Amino acid sequence: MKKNSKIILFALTVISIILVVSIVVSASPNGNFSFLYKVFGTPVTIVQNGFRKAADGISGWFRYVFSYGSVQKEMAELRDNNAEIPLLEDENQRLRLENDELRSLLGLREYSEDYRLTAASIIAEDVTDWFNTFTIDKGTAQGVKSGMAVIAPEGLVGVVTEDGINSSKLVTVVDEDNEFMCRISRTNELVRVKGVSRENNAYELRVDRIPTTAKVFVGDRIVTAESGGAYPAGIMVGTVKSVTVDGDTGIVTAIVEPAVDLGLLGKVYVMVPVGEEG
Amino acid sequence: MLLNFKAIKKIFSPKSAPRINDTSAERFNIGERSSLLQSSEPVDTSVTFKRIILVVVSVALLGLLQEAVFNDLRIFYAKPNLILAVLTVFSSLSGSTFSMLTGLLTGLTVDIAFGRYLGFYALFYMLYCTLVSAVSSLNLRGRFLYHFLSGPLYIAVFNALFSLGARIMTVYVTGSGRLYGNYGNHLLHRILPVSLYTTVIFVVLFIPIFMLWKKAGPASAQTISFRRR
Repeated sequence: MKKNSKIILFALTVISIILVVSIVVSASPNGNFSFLYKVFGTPVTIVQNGFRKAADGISGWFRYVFSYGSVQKEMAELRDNNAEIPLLEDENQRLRLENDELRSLLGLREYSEDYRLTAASIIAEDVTDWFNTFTIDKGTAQGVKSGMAVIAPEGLVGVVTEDGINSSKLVTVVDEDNEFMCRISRTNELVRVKGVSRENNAYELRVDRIPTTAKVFVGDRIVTAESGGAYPAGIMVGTVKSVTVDGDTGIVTAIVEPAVDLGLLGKVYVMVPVGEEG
Repeated sequence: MLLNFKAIKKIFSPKSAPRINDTSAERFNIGERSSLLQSSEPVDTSVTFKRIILVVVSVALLGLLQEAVFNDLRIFYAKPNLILAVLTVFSSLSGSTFSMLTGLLTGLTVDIAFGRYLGFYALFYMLYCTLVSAVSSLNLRGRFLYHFLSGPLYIAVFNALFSLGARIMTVYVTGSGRLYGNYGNHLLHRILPVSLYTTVIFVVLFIPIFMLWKKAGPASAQTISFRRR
């Protein structure tokens, strides 16, 4: 029995060392085990996709049953609101024209002309919430590749980091390893945005490198800037929820609430550059 | 068969619970017994084909369920770790080698399918399962009430250590200097809710899995034998 325990201990030590090396390699910028993901991860995510669809169906039924009353009420309200639609359409048209004019003045690129949006569903998340990863049900077979930006209707979600045949992994914008340049929508000032530790389970971003001449207020919108990298310019990132000024240095930092509720994410869109649809 | 209340009552009754047949001196010689080098594994921890199937199916099913269902069933923003709960159960019941392999293979699968750093979950789950099995190999294995008391402790310790490991990993990758901003807040908002939620799952899973583990044991041992080998 003593010999057996020694063997176990020895095996444990050797395997632990191998795993630590593997972790360090995969964490390095050039470390890439995506071939393993393609081979072993793909069948797992296919099964996961099936489970997810089944779960969505069941939860959708429960949602219908428990929200029947509120759905009826909402329908009645919508019928009343229908009368206002023609007036709202005029206002909508006016705002659209104004938006186009402002965009051309600022020189923002219309990213929808340069990218094709591929819809994808979130089928899995990081088991412990520490590493801010999601798995989506689109991969290289649908033109999704590592390095592509991922958005939701509300704004920026993250970037694809590993691509499989029919699934991919993405890292969200709130990850601490994520930093990118943005602009304050109101003043067009260039700032740096970084992910914040999720030690309290909160989804937050930090804005730093705010120029001393810039004025940042709670409620300011932050959008991506044209600084190269994965994220096209003009995508909504979040809204400033608090501003802190260091009394000694005068450095201003702000905490931003992401535009997308990452805790309730279901459907996302991968921005596939036109010409790379595959 | 799973709802055999008489059998369940027998398990939890301290008077009728089987005791390890050894002397008091050996029982309290914790240092000798608890060391992995001196593991005696007195409980029926034999690995049968049925038990392997049980482990594989349970871990796979619960892992898939977690991703499909429990990611959306958060309580105070915390979600349970079903894989951790089921690994805790199996590690309490099985020997060190089997537990080590179970933790390693489960972790590798999670790393490849859902993880970010290859080997991270494998390392933690492997060490965790081996440790839980080693601690359970103390005379405590005959006293099943201890599993209900020690299971939550194992889970809480794992969550605290995993959080530390994840923070060290992040600091290493990003180069930022700080592990935690406020550890007290972190404990309150993250470690405790996740540990409690996972413990509930552990408690729910333990008896059914134990019953199935017993049924899947060697045909010659329908009741757990605590005779030392």
